[in-house]
Amino acid sequence: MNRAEKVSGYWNPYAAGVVLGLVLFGSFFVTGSGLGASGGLARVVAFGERHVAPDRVDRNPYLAPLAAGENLPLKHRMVWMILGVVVGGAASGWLAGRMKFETFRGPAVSNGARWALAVLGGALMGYGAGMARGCTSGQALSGGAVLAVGSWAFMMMVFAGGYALAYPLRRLWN
Amino acid sequence: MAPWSFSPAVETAITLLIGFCFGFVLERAGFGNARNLAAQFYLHNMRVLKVMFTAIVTAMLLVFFTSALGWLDFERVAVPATYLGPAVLGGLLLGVGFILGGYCPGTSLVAASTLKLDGMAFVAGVAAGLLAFAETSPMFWSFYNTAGHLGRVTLADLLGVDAGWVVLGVVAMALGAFAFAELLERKFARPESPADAGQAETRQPPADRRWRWAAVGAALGLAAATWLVGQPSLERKIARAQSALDASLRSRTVHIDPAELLTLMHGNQMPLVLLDVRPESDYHVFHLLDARRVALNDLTPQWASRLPANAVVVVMSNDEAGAHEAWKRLAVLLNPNPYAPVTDRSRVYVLAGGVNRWLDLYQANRGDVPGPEVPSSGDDRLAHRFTAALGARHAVSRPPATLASGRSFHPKVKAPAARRVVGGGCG
Repeated sequence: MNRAEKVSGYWNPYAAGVVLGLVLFGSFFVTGSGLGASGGLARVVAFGERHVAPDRVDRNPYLAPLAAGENLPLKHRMVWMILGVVVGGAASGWLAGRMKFETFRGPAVSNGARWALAVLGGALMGYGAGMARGCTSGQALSGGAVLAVGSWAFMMMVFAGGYALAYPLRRLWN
Repeated sequence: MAPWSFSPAVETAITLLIGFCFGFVLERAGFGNARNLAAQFYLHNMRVLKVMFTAIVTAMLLVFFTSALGWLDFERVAVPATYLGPAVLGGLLLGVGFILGGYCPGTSLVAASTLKLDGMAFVAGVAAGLLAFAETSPMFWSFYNTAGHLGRVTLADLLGVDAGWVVLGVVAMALGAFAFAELLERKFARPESPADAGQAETRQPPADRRWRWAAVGAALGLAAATWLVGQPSLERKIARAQSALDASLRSRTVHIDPAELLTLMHGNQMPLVLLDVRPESDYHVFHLLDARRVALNDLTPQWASRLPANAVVVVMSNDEAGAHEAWKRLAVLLNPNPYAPVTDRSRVYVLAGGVNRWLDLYQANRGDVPGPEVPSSGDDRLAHRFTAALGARHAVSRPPATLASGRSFHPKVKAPAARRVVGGGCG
């Protein structure tokens, strides 16, 4: 661990990777499934839409298996998983003294613009995660570890998409 | 053998614990901070690549090593099905969303949980995006479900090699990527940036370096061991479970009387799959109605995955020897735990005495045909003579139901319970 990492309180990235890999392996070994985030969020979304427009859920081929009729969208392991993620993240942040209201942004971007870009980027990610049947957790990390072909294609495309726009959008972060 | 099945309450508790650890590690890795994540794309802080690739390599090594040793049944591990078209398009969208928004769904949850306002905005965006996908996906539903659909396929399946080769390759690639990342970080270092000034540090403490080489050695050693042992083939799995399988066959609890099979054929109460493993010539001469002929080598995991869920399978040969071999393969392919003695959870049965006993009973009308508890003669050849090859057009291919009720037997076949479907990670 070098000086700045001691200051920041973050783990050495390789050490963090090993621990994350052990968690992922534990999940596969004990339950047969990997980690995930967008699946749980999709169920929360389905739960919300079911309360606003149940007819639309029943007729929608993506939402119906999650929330139509007797399917209980929140009674699913992926929802428990994201609940655990939120509690675990909060516990770590609290113990490290990082629990405070703030906004991470590039120096050239105002808070308001940063929030708007976060919503936009999140929406693109949500749409992409629906399309790809998973996000960086469920597809890239979990699928990558079990060598799924689609997951590796997905992972390469995430990096490709990011690097393709990194230079034109450099003012956002630098 | 892992993975195991749990009661819903226990599974919920385990999943909560796994999620807690996941969130904790993501936060400690620095992924609750969008600047750490976006830095990946500006090459001065390659934390994302290092953490993700190390995690993938660690989990991959352990999954395939434990699978090689027979501790983990890889067939029951959730491998996301491959849909190349949606994966490529979705991946690109995620990449663009990453550079714009600075998080991914999992890390934004962690950022939001530590009160980062941009993280909360991102989570709201993800929810909106998922909703938009749900509402618009019917427009390209066939693309979503068919474009590049390869099913459950790993890189090892695609290349037609043992997974050990791919494991070695991924470890080598990861080590190369880490070395390259360190190089890039030195080249693009930004000591003036407080968030990642440390990344510019080129001098590593000696203890850190020792750990690094130990980790590289461990990864290469584990990969080499995985490659040496190899992933268990079906034959090896059968060999491992041999004593339990032989005990089940010897106890004759899986052998059913011809009359029970005839009752099932007339009953239409459950999906029934009859498998005839005899030579093709015998099959053409005579077989039971709706019996499918399969060669032993056709019984693969891919074949088994196409079986109707909850189907009861009855295998038969002329006598019993061939059927026993097929039964062992199917028991390992379909039984969630082939190491445990086969109990009434089994859905694969053997026709006692095979086609010969069937013909003794229904064609020759012999009165002394023994029950299923009696082993057969052991000569696995067709014992009856036919003047023409009638296949399933023979009257005895499906004798009338009245003949089934004329013989007493203890029913053994139970409708199998619904199989637990192991869900994927996301979606």
